[in-house]
Amino acid sequence: MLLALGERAAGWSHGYDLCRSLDLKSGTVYPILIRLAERGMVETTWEQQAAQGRPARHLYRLSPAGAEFAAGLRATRNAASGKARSTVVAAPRPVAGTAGT
Amino acid sequence: MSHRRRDGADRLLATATAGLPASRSEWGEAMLAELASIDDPIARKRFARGAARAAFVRGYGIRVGFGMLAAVLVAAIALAASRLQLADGGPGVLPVTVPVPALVLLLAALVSAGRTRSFRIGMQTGLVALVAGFAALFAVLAVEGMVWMDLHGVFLLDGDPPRGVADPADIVFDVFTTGMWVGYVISWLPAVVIGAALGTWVGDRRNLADIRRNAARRRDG
Repeated sequence: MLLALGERAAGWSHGYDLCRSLDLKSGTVYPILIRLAERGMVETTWEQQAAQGRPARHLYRLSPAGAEFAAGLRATRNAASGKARSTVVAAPRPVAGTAGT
Repeated sequence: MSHRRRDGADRLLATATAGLPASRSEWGEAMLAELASIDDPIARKRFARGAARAAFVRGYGIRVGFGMLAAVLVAAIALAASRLQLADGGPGVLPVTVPVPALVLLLAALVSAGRTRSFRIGMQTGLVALVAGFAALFAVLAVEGMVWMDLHGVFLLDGDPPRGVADPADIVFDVFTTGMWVGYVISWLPAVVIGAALGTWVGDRRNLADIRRNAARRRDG
């Protein structure tokens, strides 16, 4: 969730858009958003101009603390995937005739 | 589509979000507003179902969950009180089954109100616990009363013998008398009110401390 919000840079997201982009149900997305907002990782606001005949929607984006945390997460994930890639590259090939012994 | 009629998805989500505590009512409004932006009926149903489940768990779940947990504890306390005295056949479980469950109800209301910072939800949790606790307590006492009468020929509540011969109905009605109900309500209800009030106070204090801590963190950062 943090990474998904982080990818939207400074832009605001709607709850339903997050459900669709993450392919998660609203029953999963909203509890996470509530927790993140309560922990100060996500900022919320209401739309200033709602579509005609519809109520203003709630908007979400990472707070500075959330953005910092997401950047750390991304770095950790990149480091882990880089390490895994180098492990695969460095792994010795099985010597012919020894496989299955 | 400016005047779409309320459909099942609207009604389901409105009902589920109505139970959210005041501190999270904005989230209920957010879910309803989001639902209003979705036009596809199938997507609306899917969104409403998921959001309603989340809102229900956060709104009603805490009341029912803590209430039922308290009822189970009340039943366990009554059973333990009965079994610990069963060998002696006295002095009866009343000195335990009145004050100790009151403490359990107080805790249920306190924790619930503290977590939600809502006196109303603390009271509702306490009342669910009170009603479920009554039912659980009387079920245990009715069964245990039979065992006591069978083994020692005395009533479970006070350890006194009956006047004359007691049949099973007498034993059960001894537990269900009007005096018993009134006595329990008088003892347990104030515990619920005190627990809800105390929980709201504690929750507000914790929230204030969190706000100050976050503000200090932002200032330092």
